[in-house]
Amino acid sequence: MRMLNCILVLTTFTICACSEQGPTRYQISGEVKFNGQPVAYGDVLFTPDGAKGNSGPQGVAYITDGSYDTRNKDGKGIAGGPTVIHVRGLNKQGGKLICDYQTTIDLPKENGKHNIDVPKEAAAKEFKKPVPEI
Amino acid sequence: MRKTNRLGFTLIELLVVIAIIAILIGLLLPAVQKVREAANKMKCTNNLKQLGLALHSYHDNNQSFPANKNLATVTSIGWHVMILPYIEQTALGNSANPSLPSYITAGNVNRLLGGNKISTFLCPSYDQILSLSAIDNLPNGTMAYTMHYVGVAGPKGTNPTTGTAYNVNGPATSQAGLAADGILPFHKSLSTTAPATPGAVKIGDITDGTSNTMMVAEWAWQGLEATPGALRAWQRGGIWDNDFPACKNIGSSMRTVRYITNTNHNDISIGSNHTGGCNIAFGDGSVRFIRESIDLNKVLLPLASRNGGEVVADY
Repeated sequence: MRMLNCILVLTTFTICACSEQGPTRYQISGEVKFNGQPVAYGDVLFTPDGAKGNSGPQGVAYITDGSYDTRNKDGKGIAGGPTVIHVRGLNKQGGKLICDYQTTIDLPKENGKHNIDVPKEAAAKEFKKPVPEI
Repeated sequence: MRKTNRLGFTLIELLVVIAIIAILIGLLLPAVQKVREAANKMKCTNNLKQLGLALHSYHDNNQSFPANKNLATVTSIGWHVMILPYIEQTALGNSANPSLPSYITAGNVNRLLGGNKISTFLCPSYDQILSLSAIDNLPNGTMAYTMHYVGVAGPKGTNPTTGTAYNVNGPATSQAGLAADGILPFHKSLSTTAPATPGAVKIGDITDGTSNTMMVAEWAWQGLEATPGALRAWQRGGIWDNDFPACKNIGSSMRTVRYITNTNHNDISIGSNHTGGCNIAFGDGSVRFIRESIDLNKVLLPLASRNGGEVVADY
């Protein structure tokens, strides 16, 4: 029987998993209460406060059942330092806006916890709606 | 030496050949996907280039970029409609009526425009090409097409060089306000009342330099429509103190703010499904791929403003 005259050399290609090296982000989590009650759904935006000269990546976290965590799905870590926190609370997912609150705070540049108490003055105003905007 | 005369292959030979073919296909498939995405990105770049040039042609003929109409209680048609003659859609452009609202009544000519698919307004990397807004249905029962490119209304935040806040009209009212410092704002200056004729930007107003100012950005990323209704018919322009589908405020990093409730439509982040950033057309007509990780306060906001006098950090 004739020998196979081809020798197959298998080269293993190591596919370099190149993920983009973004800026340093810190993870934060906590509870969100509006007027003492847990907020059912919403988002929290952590923007570095440009008015205080801070810059860096913008963080975001989604509130579910009264708590938020930037590690959860669709969340992004925060920059730390003076930060504008913007909370928008809904009565349920896909529901109505109940509070819209903005505050400035100096957050440490490390992973941590921060609870947000939205005062009742931040209740969502009835926006004028001249047309049925959807 | 024994010599064999045979007509077929041995089983081993056959298996080796099949194995080689399988390995080659395995190597090729991911490459094909990458090439497809690269082609999509190139098509998208070209779309933005066309839009940039069309806006410049419009400026040549009208001495300003497209102005919005203030129809008081209804949404006017947006810049997408006004540049139609400059992207070789003259017939469609002529059928629009700027003094009518962009939707509201079912038989409205402007509303019917939405049934036309303009591929220049759509990024091939994002497959949601129809409006998700319930009021964008057409008489024949289908939904209007949407657009994946939005004008830059302006930045929303603090100017890093002067430390002052950028101009935003009515930030406390519905839909997160209308930024005023970009190339395509609803109204180009601060106003406490609805302007009778919203001011449009001229090239001369872009004192930061046209190559340093964003004009049209991609707005087509998976997830922005967290609640259905974010994507709206492409002919819809804007309305004072309310939503501005044709343009967006730049107040967040790419792919950060989603549409979770109907009170922040103008603040939804720009972004794309391309890896690591999105295409942006600048005021000089150039299209650049901007990384998603660029600094918001030091780069993205200054690039969105036309007259802030900022020193833009390296990006």
